[in-house]
Amino acid sequence: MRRALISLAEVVFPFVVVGILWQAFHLLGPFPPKLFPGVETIVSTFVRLVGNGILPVHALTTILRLIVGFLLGAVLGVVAGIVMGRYRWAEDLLVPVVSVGNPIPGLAYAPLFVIWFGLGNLPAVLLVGFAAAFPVVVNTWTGVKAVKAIWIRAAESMGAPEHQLFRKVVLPGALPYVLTGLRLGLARAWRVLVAVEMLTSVSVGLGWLIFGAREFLNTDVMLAGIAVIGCVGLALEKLVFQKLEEFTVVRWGMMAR
Amino acid sequence: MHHLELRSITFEYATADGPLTALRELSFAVEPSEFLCVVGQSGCGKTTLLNVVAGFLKPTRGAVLLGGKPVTGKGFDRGIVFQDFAQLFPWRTAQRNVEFGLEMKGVPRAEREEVALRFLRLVKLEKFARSYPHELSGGMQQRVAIARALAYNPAVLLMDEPFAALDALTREEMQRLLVDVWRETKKTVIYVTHNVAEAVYLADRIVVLTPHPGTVKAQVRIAMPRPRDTLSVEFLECQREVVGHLGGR
Repeated sequence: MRRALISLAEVVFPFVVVGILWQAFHLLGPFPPKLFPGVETIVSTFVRLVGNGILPVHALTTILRLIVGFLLGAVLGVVAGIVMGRYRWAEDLLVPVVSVGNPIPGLAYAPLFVIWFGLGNLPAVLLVGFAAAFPVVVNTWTGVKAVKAIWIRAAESMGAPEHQLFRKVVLPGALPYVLTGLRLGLARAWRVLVAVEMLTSVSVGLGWLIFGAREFLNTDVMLAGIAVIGCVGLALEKLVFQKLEEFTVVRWGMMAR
Repeated sequence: MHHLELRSITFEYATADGPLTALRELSFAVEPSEFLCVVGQSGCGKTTLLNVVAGFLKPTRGAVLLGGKPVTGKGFDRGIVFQDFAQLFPWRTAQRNVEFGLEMKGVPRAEREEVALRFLRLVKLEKFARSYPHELSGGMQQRVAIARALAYNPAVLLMDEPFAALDALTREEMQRLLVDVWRETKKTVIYVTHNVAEAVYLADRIVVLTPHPGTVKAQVRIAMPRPRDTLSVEFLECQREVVGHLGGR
């Protein structure tokens, strides 16, 4: 119990510092309060928007798009990465393409996706999947290449056929890299999704909420939206990725805690 | 008929300057339940030899016969223990590592568990069945590897300097344990090492290899009863004989 409180305090403390600095700038800085609202205004707006259901609707819509798009990209990325790692022809074919595609910001394709798939959910989800797939492919491929030769040898000496070798040695052996890829992919998915919601003028979503609020100088609404984005990101990191790692690669001693 | 026979094995590695002969016309046989050590300096082709017997490398000429039948490729009939501790699968507990070969054979779960625990008991690790490899010491990991290579009941156990990376005290303990395991299981063992004392302690017979290319220099039978006293005159004389063959004098 005491330990839980201390670890909570460790998480909260940096934000308290940021909050104090923010408030100081709000009181002493050059901006009028309308453009640079105080912490109390942001919090009360946050509470109000949560209470009347506006923020949850926007947040849920965005999270749903994120999940569908990211899963699409993750599955595609893992499969492509494994094929590249295992088969020489796929590696020769795909490495140049992925190398060129990886550094291009996903958002650069946004106008194309809008032209091809119209406005609404479809282009957003597809673009998110597309952008997220790149780091997943690169890391999965690296991970498959990094599977220790001695594991393969040991498994082969015990008569493992190709499909068993694949499922019971290559996949778990590559997992630390795959998880890193998924984490990077999710971060990219988040970024491109919020931006694309601003661009494609879908009528609901956190990106749209923030972008729409500028019309009325509602900086408090913008900041509330930004806070939600941060909270969701943190929750995904702590509740999904950290748990997944603790349960697998950390427990196996393949990654330091 | 011999249990395992190597018939004039020649192995050449392809290099930029043409073929490099690692093994030349190498022949010897192993009898059932025999403990055979292969001794030679580093670079004499010991590991190449083991990889040929294991089926990882195909000999350029010659054949490996197991029970009179030529060996082709990898298979359930040979178990291997490597020097590298990393040979265990880190994502499996000790017990699940030992079960791997049985799983590949399609043995049902309950039986797998029972066999794995039996072999862990044999290497005195039954208490660590649920530990992951990274939670075990180097010596314990090698014991799990031995249990894993024996559990699916291969006809031959191949060992590639399995204790070379251990400290001296642990190594001695492991050698004693291996002798016990071998007496209990009656396995045929081919054990590769560059450590002469280790070979004299373990082997029924020692095959001495000379390098560049690897050929059989001599075969020394060790008739001493077990457990062997490493400080006895007889032991030291055997050691001297093997060292003499290695030195080429």
